[in-house]
Amino acid sequence: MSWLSLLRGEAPPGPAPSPIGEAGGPREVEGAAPGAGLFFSSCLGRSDLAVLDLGPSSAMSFGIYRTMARRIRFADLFSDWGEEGWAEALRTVPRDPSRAVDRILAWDTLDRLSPEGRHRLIRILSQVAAPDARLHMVIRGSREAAPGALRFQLAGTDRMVYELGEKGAGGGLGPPLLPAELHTLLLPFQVENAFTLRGDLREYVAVWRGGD
Amino acid sequence: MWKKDEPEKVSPEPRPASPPPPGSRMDESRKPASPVEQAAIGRSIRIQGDVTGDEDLLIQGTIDGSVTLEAHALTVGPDGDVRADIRARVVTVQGRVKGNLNAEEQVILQASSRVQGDISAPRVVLEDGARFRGEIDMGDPDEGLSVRSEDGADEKGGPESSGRPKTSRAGVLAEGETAGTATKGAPGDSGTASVKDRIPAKTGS
Repeated sequence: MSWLSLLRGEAPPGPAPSPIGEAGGPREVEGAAPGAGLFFSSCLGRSDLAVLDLGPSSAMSFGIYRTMARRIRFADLFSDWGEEGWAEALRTVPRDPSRAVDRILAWDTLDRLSPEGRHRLIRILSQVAAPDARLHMVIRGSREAAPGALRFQLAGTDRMVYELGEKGAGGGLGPPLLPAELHTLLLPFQVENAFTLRGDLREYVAVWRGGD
Repeated sequence: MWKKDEPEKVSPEPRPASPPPPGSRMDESRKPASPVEQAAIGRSIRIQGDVTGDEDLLIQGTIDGSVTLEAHALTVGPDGDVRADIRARVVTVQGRVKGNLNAEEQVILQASSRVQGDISAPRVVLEDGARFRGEIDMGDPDEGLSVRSEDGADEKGGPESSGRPKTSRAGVLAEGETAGTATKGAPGDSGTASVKDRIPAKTGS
């Protein structure tokens, strides 16, 4: 702290904030999500979209989706529904082009899969995605971002809430996912916007370019 | 005992109409409509087969098959466990359902519900805490939907709205509070916004 600050009577800075889930840190954080804002700005005026949220069902997120979508699917990939593995949750998603998905939300999803699982997930998503479908992702910047599974919900079209999930939900984390690796992994989705959020999280918006 | 593939009959339990207050005069127009009939399947009842009926139904037991109450309301109580496709006018779930829900008017998934299947209804209420895996198909996009907050009020909103639904949550930073106290950030970070840097868009090629 500078002597000038002391003369001005400014308070000394507090201790460094704790990451979510650590002792002294919060279990839930809300903040701006500019990627989500961009993602949902493309939905303005629409009421006929099909939305696929890979996370658990959320009344808050549903309140946003319902304004723009006719069909909304919560896949809840990593919760225990008595089935074998996360891919079973996507087995019932129609591959029919007339029922293709326009918007996909993948928050804290790729992090929790093995490298093979990540490729498999993107392959499935590219099969169910409509032309020009958009994909919104939140990915950890490092292992220190959070000690366990994170549950994201929309607090608005440009704000998100995330909290630590139930203990043991979804198992552990896969290897770190580097930005350059992500761009290759996502093909045929192409990253259009990327942001770094506080808490060492990264936010990406990608567009399906499979028809090009 | 119950036989599979035979429609099950359930006994109506009519609710007694409340008597008029003493001294009041009740003419034809003020007479209450016929009491709402609601059948109930108790906790110890287990049905394997198809359930059909022409009255409201409360399920507290276990059903494996299908449930069809075309013009009536079906409630799966907190102890209800239904592994069946359900068709009714209004479906309210407090317990567990594995199957598709098809409602002419409305489906309500209450906070204690756990539902796996697809929902088809013009109006869907998903309460905070409800666990649902499947697809919600609202049909005509002009039909209204609602999300019920914890206080029971229906919420309205649109893509233009960035206000969060009125769910009471602990530990959420309020507008104007500094997020720096809650998240790990670089020294000097402050302010409400939790976005620190903006990375130039890259294209994967």
